[in-house]
Amino acid sequence: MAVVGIDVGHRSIKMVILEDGKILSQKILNTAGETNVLAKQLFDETVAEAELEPSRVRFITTTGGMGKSVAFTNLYRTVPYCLAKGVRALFPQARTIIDMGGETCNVIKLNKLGEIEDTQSNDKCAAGTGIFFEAMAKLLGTSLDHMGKLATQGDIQFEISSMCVVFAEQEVISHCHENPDISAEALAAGIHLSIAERVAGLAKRLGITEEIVLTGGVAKNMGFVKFLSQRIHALARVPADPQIIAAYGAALISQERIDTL
Amino acid sequence: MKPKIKDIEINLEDFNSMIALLESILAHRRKKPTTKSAELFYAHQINYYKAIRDAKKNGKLFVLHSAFTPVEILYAFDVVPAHASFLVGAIAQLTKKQGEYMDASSRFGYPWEVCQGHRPVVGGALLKKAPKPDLCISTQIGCTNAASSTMGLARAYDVPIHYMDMSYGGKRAVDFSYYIENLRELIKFLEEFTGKKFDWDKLCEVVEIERQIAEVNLEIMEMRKAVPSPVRHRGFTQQYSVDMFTPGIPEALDFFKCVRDEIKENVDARRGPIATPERYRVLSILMPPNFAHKLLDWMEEEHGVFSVGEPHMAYWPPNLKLDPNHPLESLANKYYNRPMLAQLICPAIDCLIPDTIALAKDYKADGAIFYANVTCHTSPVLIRSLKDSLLETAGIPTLVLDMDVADPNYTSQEEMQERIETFLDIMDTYKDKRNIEGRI
Repeated sequence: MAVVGIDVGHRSIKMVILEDGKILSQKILNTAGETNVLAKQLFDETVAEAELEPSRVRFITTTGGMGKSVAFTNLYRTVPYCLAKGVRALFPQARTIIDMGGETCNVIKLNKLGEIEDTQSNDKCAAGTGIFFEAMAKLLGTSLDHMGKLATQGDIQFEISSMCVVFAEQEVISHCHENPDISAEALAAGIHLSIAERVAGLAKRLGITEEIVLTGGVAKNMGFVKFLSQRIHALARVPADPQIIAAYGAALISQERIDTL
Repeated sequence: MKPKIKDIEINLEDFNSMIALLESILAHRRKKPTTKSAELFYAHQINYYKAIRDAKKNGKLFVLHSAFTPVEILYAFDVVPAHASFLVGAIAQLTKKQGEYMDASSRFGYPWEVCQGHRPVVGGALLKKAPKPDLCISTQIGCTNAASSTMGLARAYDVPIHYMDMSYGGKRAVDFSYYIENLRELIKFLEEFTGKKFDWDKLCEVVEIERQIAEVNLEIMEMRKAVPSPVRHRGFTQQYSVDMFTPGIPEALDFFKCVRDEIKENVDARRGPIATPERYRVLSILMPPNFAHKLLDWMEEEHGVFSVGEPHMAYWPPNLKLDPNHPLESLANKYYNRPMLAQLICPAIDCLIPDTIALAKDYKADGAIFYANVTCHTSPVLIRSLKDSLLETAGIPTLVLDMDVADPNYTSQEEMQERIETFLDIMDTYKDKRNIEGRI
């Protein structure tokens, strides 16, 4: 029997199918439309890709900012709870999770048993989230991936003092005017360092305990991972598919549920 | 240019809509009864607002005052008092015109950073939506916005204002004497303003009723230690409002006696106030957002989360003694000890922190929810100390719920629910830990 976890975020929906504890299929769909319809579409596509009869899915757990709007779910659990489940399954020693999604940034502190001790979130502004990096990549006229690579090669020549995405854009433009010879690498490095500084500050409010795991789409940005690790003075570990960890955790919760039935 | 609002320009359409809405809530309560005290609460609110609306018609002096002005003195003077922030805030909230009132405040020069609990006040006055007072009274306390907004109000209406002061420090003899001196100055000012002699006998009567209210509150606090919690989650907001608006009047005493009797009934029957069983007992620190009292209902109905102690809103210290034969001393005692004010004007280390820890232990709390109003200038500095103290001494976690007390655009009810649901898991973690440590 298969179980499903679906993470319905503000920018994308992620789904994982588990069977016998192994990932059978996983998929990500960018959201632009009615959440419930898109979630069903993703469910159908992922189940088909796994060559699975929908009737074999015994339990579905949803999570994410829009997770409650999915009509065909059996259970809803919060993102920190699902992340804790997913991360500890992959990194049994994890004590701190830094999750950076499209529009939110969560820091989750775990105890030795993997239970949540405290959380801290920034959901009030774009700084430290995926859309901030998207805006900056657009400004530099490059892709997110490439901007991340550029950041790893640049020297730090400036930091952005304003964390509002609108003002930050203006600040980057000002730096270009003041120093027309500034390289794209230095600009990217300055941008990444500034965000890493802010996220590290958020994490330090809870107290950082190793092992640290970085999840969410921003974790795929190697420039950010480098600067964040510097700022928290520890290596942040990144799962192979950092975007699907909450959905994976939700699927594990589904598994636990059917195991106790 | 200094605005001068005349009585004739006042438009009470919003004010009357608010009263009509409260009347419809009361009618609904009577049709589908929940508790008697809920009915008394809405009746109390309606009477309070009607008295304000009709003050001039009834030939009464009408005073708009800031939070924690000693209303007992005003009652003894046969004055109709109105809590400025609650009055205008309620009109804006219940008629869903916060944005309009906030914009008007901005035009007057109040920036976004001014506490949203107080910012609509001047806007409502400038829009000529609240009755024009004969005078304003402002009490200077730790919450500077409360006092300053009343100052803006007096300017908008172009009416006299009297300032009172409370010293920051605590419950020392020097604070009490200073406050009593301020009370005497207020009485002298009112005598000069009205040309009438102050009625000391009436003040003694008012203080006697307030003495009884304080006693009933202490009984309520004692009974609230019961498991399961015998009172609804939102109960404390109603108790807070009644004593804040109308201390020392018979109607307020009746309300508190009714609350006490209902709680006693539940305690005797060892039952909670609703069908949902209690799962979590929480302390509520500071004020929940006034646009989302349904959030409190959702907590108890969906997840069995009950508020069992509120250090700022329903904490009456056991040593509070009021004596009608010494009315001014009694008022000093009350105002330095009453909920919210004691926490604002006494050092946290002497008052808020030990009181909250005691509440956590005595009321068997599983966690605390700190309602962190983003535009409050005084409370955020307490968050870390309080959170650490509760964890270290009582072993309970604290949820810091960032929100704007009056503006749902900052943090919506849905966002707060998401954070609270995460906090339930955190409370479970610590409950297990306290169990292992033998603390439960």
